[in-house]
Amino acid sequence: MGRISISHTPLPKMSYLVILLVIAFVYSAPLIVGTYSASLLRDAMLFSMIALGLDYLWGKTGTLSFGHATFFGAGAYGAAIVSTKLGLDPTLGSWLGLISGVSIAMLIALVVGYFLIFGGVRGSYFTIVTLALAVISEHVIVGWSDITGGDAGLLGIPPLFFPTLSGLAPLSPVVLYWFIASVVCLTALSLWWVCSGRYGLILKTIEDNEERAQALGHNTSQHLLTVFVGSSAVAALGGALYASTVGFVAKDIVGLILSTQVIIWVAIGGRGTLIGPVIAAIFVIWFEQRISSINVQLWPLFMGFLFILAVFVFPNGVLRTLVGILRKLGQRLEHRV
Amino acid sequence: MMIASGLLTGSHLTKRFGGIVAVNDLSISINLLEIKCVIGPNGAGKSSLFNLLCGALRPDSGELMFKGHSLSRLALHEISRIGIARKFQVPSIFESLSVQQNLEVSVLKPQSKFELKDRVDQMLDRIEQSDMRDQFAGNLAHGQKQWLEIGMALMSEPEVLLLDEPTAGMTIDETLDTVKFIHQLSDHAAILVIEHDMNFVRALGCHTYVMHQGGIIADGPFSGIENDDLVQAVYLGKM
Ligand SMILES: Nc1ncnc2c1ncn2[C@@H]1O[C@H](COP(=O)(O)OP(=O)(O)O)[C@@H](O)[C@H]1O
Ligand SMILES: [Mg+2]
Repeated sequence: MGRISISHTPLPKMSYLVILLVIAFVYSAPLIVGTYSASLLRDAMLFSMIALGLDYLWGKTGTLSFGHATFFGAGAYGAAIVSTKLGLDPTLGSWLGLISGVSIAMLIALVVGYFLIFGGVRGSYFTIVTLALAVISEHVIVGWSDITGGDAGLLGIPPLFFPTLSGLAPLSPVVLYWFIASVVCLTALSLWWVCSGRYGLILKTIEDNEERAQALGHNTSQHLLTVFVGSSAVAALGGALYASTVGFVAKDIVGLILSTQVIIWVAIGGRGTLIGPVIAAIFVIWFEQRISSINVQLWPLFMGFLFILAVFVFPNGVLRTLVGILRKLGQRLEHRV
Repeated sequence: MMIASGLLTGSHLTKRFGGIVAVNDLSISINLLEIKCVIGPNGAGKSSLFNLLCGALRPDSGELMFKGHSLSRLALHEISRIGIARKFQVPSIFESLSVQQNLEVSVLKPQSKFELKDRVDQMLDRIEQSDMRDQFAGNLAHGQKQWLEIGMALMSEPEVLLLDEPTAGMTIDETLDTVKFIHQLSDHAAILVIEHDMNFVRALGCHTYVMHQGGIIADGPFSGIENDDLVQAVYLGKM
């Protein structure tokens, strides 16, 4: 009961402060930590879009997908292929790639999601099928090497071009960082805003008791499909931006390992908070870089440790736990005064 | 059996589960603003009949009509949208939402925030839960959950309300309160109640069908039913 009541109350006021601090840090980071660290942070933010997308699905409707890296990968590979293989002018190709990447991922989600969701596949069966999706997509990337580059990946993806005073040009690293930070923040905040009202409640009814929601007249399959496609679009937007930002894609951005990591990010950040998983993803990836630079073998151990921590110590997510601690401290201080 | 052309009419409904015939060639009908009751011992097939009537189960054969239109092709949520609401046997509320939120999500397309709040307030008043509106529905007592679920079913202003064992787990006082509540509701909707508790049905005092082994073995005003030898035999397990 305790778990239920904590995890579905709206975030307390304190968390707005935490979120504001994080946003302030994210925007000022290139000036504080230097360009190299900022580029790590930038990539981490793009990967955090998978966590954001997954939390929209898993956190809001209770439906766990084990294949969300697939959509990040579809976005990235879609963008890479369209912008490099069609002989387009890079100024146009990069944007067309971005749009195509996201559209391809949404189309995959629409087709797979339609047959699963309207076919009545729910709960762990849904999760298992999406797990298969992750495995299949990995095989497609490796096997279809004429187009995807196979194990070698694809190189030479053009950056996004923006109009400047001297014509179309890519952004400078710092401005690109701010652009990406803005896309991630805007996506996260709008999703959070959309889910904060009645719509979020209706999604919650699907998690609680889908048959009951249907008996009240809610077309739950329609809702689930919309969320599934929307959540894939968010992940794909991250992937497509990643391709144009980094300039190359390789098979490690699809498949099971990344999909599993995303679930851990969401669990650590606090399922259903949307913002929490984004913050958790950024921190964990950043940590990963740090630890792997000391010793590559250390990271899997550390990841396992984090997962145990997420499940047993912070079952409500680090953000909620942190906010809870801050609030208790605040109350103590008030008592003193 | 004669089939009246009522508001909601099921004719020759049959539902099998493997070898068991849960509902066997059964016909039933309910008219505008009417209260009717289906009683029968455990396992008689009441819940199965109920699930057929609200679209949660598809009949193997037979026809279900609402205002002259067949329901056989409609999905569960569509059946609710045309005006048939239900309360499940196991209290099915959204445990992790508050009482008030449970009522809010039960309105499909609110005209405005104010209209919604108004209707929710009125319903909270009717089900006597105004002072617990912000509690998690999962924390309510069993009887309160039942009332909340009836309230949720009413939010869509249905023409037919189907109630499966609305007083299961209630005290005698709560049961009698529920009888009163149901009588009040019948000014707005036709109500079909499925029950197993004779005392409740006696207090409700309406037209009653007696169900046994998937079929209807008697039907009429409850006073007549109660003294029927066959019905007594079924209830006392002598059949
Ligand atoms: N989903 C099901 N699968 C298999 N058998 C079922 C199912 N639902 C009900 N039955 C069987 O159908 C018969 C009638 O059950 P039910 O409709 O629940 O009766 P009642 O509500 O009158 O107690 C019982 O024998 C029960 O075991
Ligand atoms: Mg029953």
